[in-house]
Amino acid sequence: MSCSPDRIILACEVFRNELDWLAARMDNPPPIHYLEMGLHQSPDQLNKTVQAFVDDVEHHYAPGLTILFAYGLCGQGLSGITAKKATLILPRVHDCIPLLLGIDQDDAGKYSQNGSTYWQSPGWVNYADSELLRNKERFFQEYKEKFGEENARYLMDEQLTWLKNYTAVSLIRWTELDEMEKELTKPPGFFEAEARCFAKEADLPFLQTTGSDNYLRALLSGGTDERRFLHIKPGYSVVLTGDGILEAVYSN
Amino acid sequence: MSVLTEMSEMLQKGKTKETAALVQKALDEGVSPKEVLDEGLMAGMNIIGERFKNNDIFIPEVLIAARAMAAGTDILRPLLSGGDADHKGTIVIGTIKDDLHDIGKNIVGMMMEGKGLTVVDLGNNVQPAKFIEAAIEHKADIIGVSAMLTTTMMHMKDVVADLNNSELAGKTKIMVGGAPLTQAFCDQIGAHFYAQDATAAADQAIEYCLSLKG
Repeated sequence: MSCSPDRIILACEVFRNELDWLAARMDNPPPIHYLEMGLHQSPDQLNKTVQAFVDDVEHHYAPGLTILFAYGLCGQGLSGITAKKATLILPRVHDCIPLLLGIDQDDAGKYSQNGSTYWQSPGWVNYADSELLRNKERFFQEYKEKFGEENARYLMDEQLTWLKNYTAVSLIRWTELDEMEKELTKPPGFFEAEARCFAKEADLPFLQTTGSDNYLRALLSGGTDERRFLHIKPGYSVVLTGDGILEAVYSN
Repeated sequence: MSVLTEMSEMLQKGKTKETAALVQKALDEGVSPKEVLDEGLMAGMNIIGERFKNNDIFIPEVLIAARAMAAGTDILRPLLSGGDADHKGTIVIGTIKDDLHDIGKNIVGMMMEGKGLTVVDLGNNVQPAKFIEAAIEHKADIIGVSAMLTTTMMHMKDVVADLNNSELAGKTKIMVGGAPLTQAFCDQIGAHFYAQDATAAADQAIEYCLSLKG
């Protein structure tokens, strides 16, 4: 795989399986740099990390660079991101789910049953593996040691109650998923099995939703469709308007 | 160590039974219910709030401290005067429509109760009109709206609009908070307060409510 020095992608780890799969099947895919998952929980931290990447990359790459983000606005973590010389390209989405589903942001509410679907994907399965729900016994023992058994039971209850607010767990399934599992040397049906396990632990029904690689494929190809990708010129930055639209505004 | 200091320390450690026992002990020793609440329980919860704000402690420590506080206030509640002088203020809180995240909002509620405010929690996925209905019913001083998603926070504009079209216009204030929220967004939609974290939410709420009492 050869690097394309005029373009680079900064991606959330949630997309690694999908992006690596697609990039391996392209001529001259851009280099992809991944940041750890979960940074959206501290949008300030995500913002600082992304901006530091942009500043560093601008320093080392030739003028005329384009930095594409495999991110959404992600809790406003990408708001205010700006470059002095590079063009930034950001999908016009609020988070990773429309990118994994291959849909426009306007359709996202319909797909998620107005926010009541808890999404899983290969990346989210990997992330969930470290989390409270998949490690109940370990967390319980840690809490018990630190706070006593009664408090430990209370904490497990209190920190898992939020799941009851959701109506289903749904795995975003690309048609390529089986092939992706083979290439990752995972057992057949691995991601579905893991997502089903998550649903079982969460005591929620398990569903599957067909996703598409079209949005991420378009990103890898340069994100040229300005209807789907916000182009941010040097000196401009991303803002979220009061109507939920992503815009590029001049930032001094 | 005084019984109130010990009570505050037990609360901070999340020792529910010990906190409740010390509340009873303080009352038996003749300490007034108000002093037990202010100097024992709320003093401990204030320290928890500051430490949480400074990232010295995290959600589990806050949750168990709040639980210990609730055990203490359960004993005090029937003994505290119901007069207006002791009523600090009422807040209606909830997570906005289409948003199911509520741990942050729950912690805000606990912190506000820790300040002696009356909190009416509407839960999550709350329709904008419901905030106003509840605020009217409970004569709320503040409506607190939280969101964890940039998509759902857009609905907060409707809470502001509904408030401005209601009998509470000009009286009840709106506070907004949650990870994607900013002061700029608060200003843009015409909300009155932006709280960057649970401690700030509780601090701003009590400051505003006490200012109403003159």
